[in-house]
Amino acid sequence: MRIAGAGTISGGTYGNVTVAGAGTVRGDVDALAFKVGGAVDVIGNVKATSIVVNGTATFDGDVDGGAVVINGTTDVRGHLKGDSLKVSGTASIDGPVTTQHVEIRGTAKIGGDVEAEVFEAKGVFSIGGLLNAGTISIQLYGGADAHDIGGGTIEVREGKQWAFLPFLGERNLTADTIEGDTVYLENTRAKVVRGADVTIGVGCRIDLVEYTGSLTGSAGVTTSRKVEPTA
Amino acid sequence: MDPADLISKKDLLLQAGISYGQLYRWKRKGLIPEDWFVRRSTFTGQETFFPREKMLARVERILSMKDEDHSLDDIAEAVSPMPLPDTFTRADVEARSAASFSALDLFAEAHPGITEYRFQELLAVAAADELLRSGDAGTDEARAVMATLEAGWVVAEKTSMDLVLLRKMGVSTALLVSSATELVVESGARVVARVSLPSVIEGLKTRLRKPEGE
Repeated sequence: MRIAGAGTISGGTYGNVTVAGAGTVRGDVDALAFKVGGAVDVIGNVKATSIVVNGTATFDGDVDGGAVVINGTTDVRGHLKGDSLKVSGTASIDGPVTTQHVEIRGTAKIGGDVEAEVFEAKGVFSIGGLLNAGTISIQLYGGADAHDIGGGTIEVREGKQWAFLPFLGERNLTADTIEGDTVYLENTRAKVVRGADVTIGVGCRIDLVEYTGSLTGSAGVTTSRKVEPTA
Repeated sequence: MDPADLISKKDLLLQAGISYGQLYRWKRKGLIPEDWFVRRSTFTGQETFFPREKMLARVERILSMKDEDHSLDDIAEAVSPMPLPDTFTRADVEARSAASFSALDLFAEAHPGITEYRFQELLAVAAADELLRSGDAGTDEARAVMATLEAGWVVAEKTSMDLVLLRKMGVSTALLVSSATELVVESGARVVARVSLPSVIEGLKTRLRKPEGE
């Protein structure tokens, strides 16, 4: 199915769907590859093996997208599920995101929780709920925030600064609670950080650090304490 | 919930010998129900607590299944309140002692035509069975319990609910309430039994999954 000019298709099961012009999809869609070069408005849920948005897409419902790549601008009003999500453009997702691998190089705003095995960010993001991933690796190139962060390995570093570029503004991560086994933080504002082995690098402001193994560095930490088994 | 019935995440990790990474992975895999995460303000700020008994039992179950080399997906299926898709014959149920004959007879009485049981029907039978065995319910009450569960399954499938049996002056009522609900009843009435459906589901699943005659 291909929409080249302006057109409306109804929901249903399709092979590959390509929108090159401006299109509207009414109803739930089940497709193989779903590609948007122009602009599309989907009024329904989408299930596809892969979704690539180079133009502009609005998904009114849930998206179950296999491999999802957003180079353009995308709004998702519902839940985003899939194997991977890569955002190089701008994504705004209201519902939760559940996927194996998340990579953010552009800008992402997510209203709910994010669950992934691997979360990598070299861009700007805002997560309204819990960011929960096995491995979290964040390089700050702008503002980033999440309500809470939890996982196995958590690493937050200041992005590289290029001398020839103007100052990019604040480059901080803000969260209420950060919990992980191995935690390395730079430029992070948090109320509580809990972990086994915690390292506090430059530019942090943290009210409380609780650790069971080791704490390295304490600049910007108000209170820290080692938690021992009580029994 | 009474604070004494709660365990903080910190204490849980220390007591059970598990790590943050493990706990968060289990959460992602759906091994721990969302409504067990209770957020409370403490003097150190926000902390997460869990219902102590349920959580410790769940962690023990997960760890022992892991020792038997089950994958996290297997464990998730075993502990999730999702129904099994299969149907079961009376012979299947009897071979696995999934419910007593008397409870099955009661169900058969109400539905004479049924030869294949769906999971939710067996759940109604299993819950009634539990109340019959404990002596909390008589036959008529067991029938009411089954009817309530059959009618309420649409809701109970989606949220964690408890089955409650109320009695006042010999007249009883069966109802379903969401698990987190506190119940206050008038002084003449009595909560005879309150059964958590997710745990009935889990028990029923374990029995149905067993190979025959074990």
